[in-house]
Amino acid sequence: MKGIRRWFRIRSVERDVDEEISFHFAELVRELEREGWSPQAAHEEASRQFGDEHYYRRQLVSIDRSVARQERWTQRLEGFRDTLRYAVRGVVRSPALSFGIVLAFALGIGANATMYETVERMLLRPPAHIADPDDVRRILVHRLAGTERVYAETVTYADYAEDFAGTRGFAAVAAHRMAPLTLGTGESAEQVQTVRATASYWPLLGVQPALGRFFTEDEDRIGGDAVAVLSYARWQHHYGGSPDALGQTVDFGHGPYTIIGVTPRGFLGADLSPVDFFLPFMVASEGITAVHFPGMPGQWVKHRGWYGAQVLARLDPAVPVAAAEAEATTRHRAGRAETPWYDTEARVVAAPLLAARGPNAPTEVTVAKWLLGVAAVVLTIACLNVSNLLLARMLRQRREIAIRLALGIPRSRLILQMMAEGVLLGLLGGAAALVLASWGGTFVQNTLLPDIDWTAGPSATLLLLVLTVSVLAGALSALVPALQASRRDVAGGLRSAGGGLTPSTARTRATLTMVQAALSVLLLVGAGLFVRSLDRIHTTDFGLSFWDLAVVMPTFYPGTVSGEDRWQYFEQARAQTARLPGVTGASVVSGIPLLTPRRPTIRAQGVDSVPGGPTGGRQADGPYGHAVDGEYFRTAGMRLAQGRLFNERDTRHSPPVIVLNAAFAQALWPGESPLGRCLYVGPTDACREIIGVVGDARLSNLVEEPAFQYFMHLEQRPLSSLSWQPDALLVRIAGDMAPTLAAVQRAVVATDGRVRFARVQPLEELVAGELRQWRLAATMFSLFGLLALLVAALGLYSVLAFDVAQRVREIGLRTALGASTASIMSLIMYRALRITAAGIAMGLILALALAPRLQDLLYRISPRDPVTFTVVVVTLCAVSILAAGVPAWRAARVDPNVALKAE
Amino acid sequence: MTRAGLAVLQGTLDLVVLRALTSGPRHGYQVARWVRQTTDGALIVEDGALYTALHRLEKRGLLESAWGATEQNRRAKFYSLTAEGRHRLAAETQTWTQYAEAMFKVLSTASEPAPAAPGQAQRQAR
Repeated sequence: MKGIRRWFRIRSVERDVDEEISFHFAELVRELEREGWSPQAAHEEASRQFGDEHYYRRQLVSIDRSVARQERWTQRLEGFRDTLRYAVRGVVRSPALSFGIVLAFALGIGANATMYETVERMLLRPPAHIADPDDVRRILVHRLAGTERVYAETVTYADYAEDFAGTRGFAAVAAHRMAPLTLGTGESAEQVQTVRATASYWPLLGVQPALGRFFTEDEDRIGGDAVAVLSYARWQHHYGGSPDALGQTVDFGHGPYTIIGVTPRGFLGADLSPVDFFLPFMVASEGITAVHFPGMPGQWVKHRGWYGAQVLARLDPAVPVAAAEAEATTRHRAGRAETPWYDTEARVVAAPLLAARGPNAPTEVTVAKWLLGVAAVVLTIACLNVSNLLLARMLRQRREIAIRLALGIPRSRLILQMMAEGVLLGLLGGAAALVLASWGGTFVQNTLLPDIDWTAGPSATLLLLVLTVSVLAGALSALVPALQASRRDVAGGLRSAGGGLTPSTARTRATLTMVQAALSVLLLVGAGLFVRSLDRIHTTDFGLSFWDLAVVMPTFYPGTVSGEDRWQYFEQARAQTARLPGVTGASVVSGIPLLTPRRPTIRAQGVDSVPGGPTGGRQADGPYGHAVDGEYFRTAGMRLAQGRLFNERDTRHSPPVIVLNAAFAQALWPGESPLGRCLYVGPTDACREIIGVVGDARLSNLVEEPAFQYFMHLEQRPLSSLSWQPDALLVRIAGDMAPTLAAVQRAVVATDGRVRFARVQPLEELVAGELRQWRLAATMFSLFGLLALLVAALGLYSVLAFDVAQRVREIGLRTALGASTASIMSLIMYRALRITAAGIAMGLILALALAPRLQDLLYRISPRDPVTFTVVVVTLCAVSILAAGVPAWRAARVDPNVALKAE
Repeated sequence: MTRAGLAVLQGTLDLVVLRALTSGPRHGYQVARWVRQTTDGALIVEDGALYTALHRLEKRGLLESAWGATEQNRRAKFYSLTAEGRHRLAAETQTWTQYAEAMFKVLSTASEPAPAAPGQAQRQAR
């Protein structure tokens, strides 16, 4: 279209020049002929006087063309300026409406920006500073663990060193391991995040130090120099970014490390969580192992039971991935040939570096993807609402539009101007959305996904996305009103005063409102299901009230406390702790699943082999053994199901007794009473008589079946084994947990000078990772659902308020004819409820169809949970009655005198 | 007149064309005839160069053009001065007149003997 016009323009420039020249020739020839020249001679004379005709013609055409081009640009610029001026005027003229629209856009676009940023960080952006991140893979072992096959991320150092490091199909292989360590001592001690890595880690990732250097092969060996690399953030916050940091030392309780370098800003290693220190794998592993298992130097290096390494590999571009995997698999199976229980089908997999893209993707990723979809729905609702508001204003300006059309303004220009206004509003909304997203982002990041480092800030992609979405949302929202406006018949627009409501516009607005209501139902159902899931988790009986329990684990200076000393210390610490205000129970424990698991081989009377129980999540094969004091069951809130609990008569010298949990008892002797039978803990143990059964307790893995557990009395613990030493206090806290925990920590450290540090951990944190998905989903779904409801209610209100304003005359007439207030109100309410009812029906159908897809993300709740659906329907009805109430009330108060005289 | 010479005369030519339009709109042929008649053919300008000047001045905004009818009712493109063109003409006329007067003074002064060089004066003094 444009091309054709330009072509005509160029043609016309040439035609004009030709015409001008030929006119000149004609006139001159005529004059010469009048003077008596022959036509032939006159023509030649004219040519001579003119000069090189071709040359001059080209000159003229080129001058005129540049003039035409200039004019075109001026016109375009003026057109743009006009459109912009119209748009700005439109925005400024009705500030309240513009504010509402910008707010709707800001919320809709902001929701999308927040969720996109989250998903991008987890799924799309590889960890920073890694060269060719697509070639860096996580080495996982697909193997049996208990009864099911898992993609194991953690292997032994021997697996790494003997099997994977020698795989020639990989260009490079490195081992690393993230672990929290305690830095410093006493009250100034702090928990820091460390990554132990082999020297090959740095060249494999292709990262360069920001300061100093990284450690070398020579340092990464047992007996090598203890050196440490700081993360950029740690360097900035604790060393002021000063080069003097190099050469200083840090101590994690097993000897000083000298700082030799700093990683570049934003480098997080191969994962996405914040890191403080990078330590040489061999040195740090030996140091840490020596604290817990003194007298066994270097044993972990060859031991195929020391699961303490994760493996990274860089692919060799010349070797197909499958070939490298096959080679590693062969080597690994050979290396594991001596391990009796090992899965002979074990298979090595080179999985993507971003965990979210691999087989062990956390559920939060799925939830975040869902939430991105939900954010898109919120934006859709916002756009529908804006359409509705613009439509209302278009109707109010109908006369003006009709006049403009009558004055010959082309429809296309009118549509363009209205769209431009929409785009302007969209851009304003987008700008506000960026502000909202930076707040919303902080909220999502810090409270809902705290394990991920978010310091990198928004990406260029995000900004580009917001810009695009703003323009599109603005243009699309303005499209329907613009088309409707240009379709108006001119004469009708001029005749009507203030514009009457044509049926088609009314229908459009009602439909827009209806769709908003339907989408709100959909989001609220989603929100309801997740809120109910979260609620179920908190009210479900886990056999242990872990919401108010915390574990306290003291660490002693190496070699200072052992044997009977340790027992006495814990008794003292327990007594001290129990006296603190806010503490309602304290008990000494040996063996907390996940934290300090005890899983010795046990035998049961009359049972051939003791089953291990369920596995999954972080939970390994059981059964889990605990040695606890008499306070334990009361502190933990575990209930007795059968028999008795420990009492004063159970002492070091009385016959040993034991308590099982119900799941374990049921598995050992299905349908029979376990009381009076024997359990043997360890190969040389005497009969421990089963005296009681307690309810099943879960310490992790809320979704799966409870683990198998048994409880001995601490005084009757098997003395032969070192591993049954008391190692933690279980503390029950009433009220606010944080301040009481701090007091507990101080008390436990102050009890004895040999305590280096005490780690306190609310039990809830053990399941925090599992709760996170529901918390994230429940919070964000609710937030977005409420947002949608608010926007939809505003939409309904604006439609009805406008209706009432349009029908003032009609309503006045009805009142004058004797209609009651009630009948006028019901007239308006009826219309409101008809729109909402249709929307709710549509929304319910959508929700019933879509909700089952959420099944895997819900906790013990049907995706078609009747309670949720009922609450949502009632809520929506209530909100729509509220939204309709104000306009209806206003309609009822219409004064017929004023209404009928108006105009 | 050669093409190379046109560039030298361009400023002058523009001034001539502007002057030709002071008495109202004219089409290109009228401008050409006016130039020839006014200068009695002393200023030889190719008609093509004249048209080039017209179009160039229009591009610079000193002239504007419109298609119209001649007395014989033939379609022709008429040029007229814009306010800016008029202003420029006045300014250029003044400059050109002063310049011409100065040149005329210079060229019409009777020749005098050149003053003696300092070296010669010394030699004479000795």
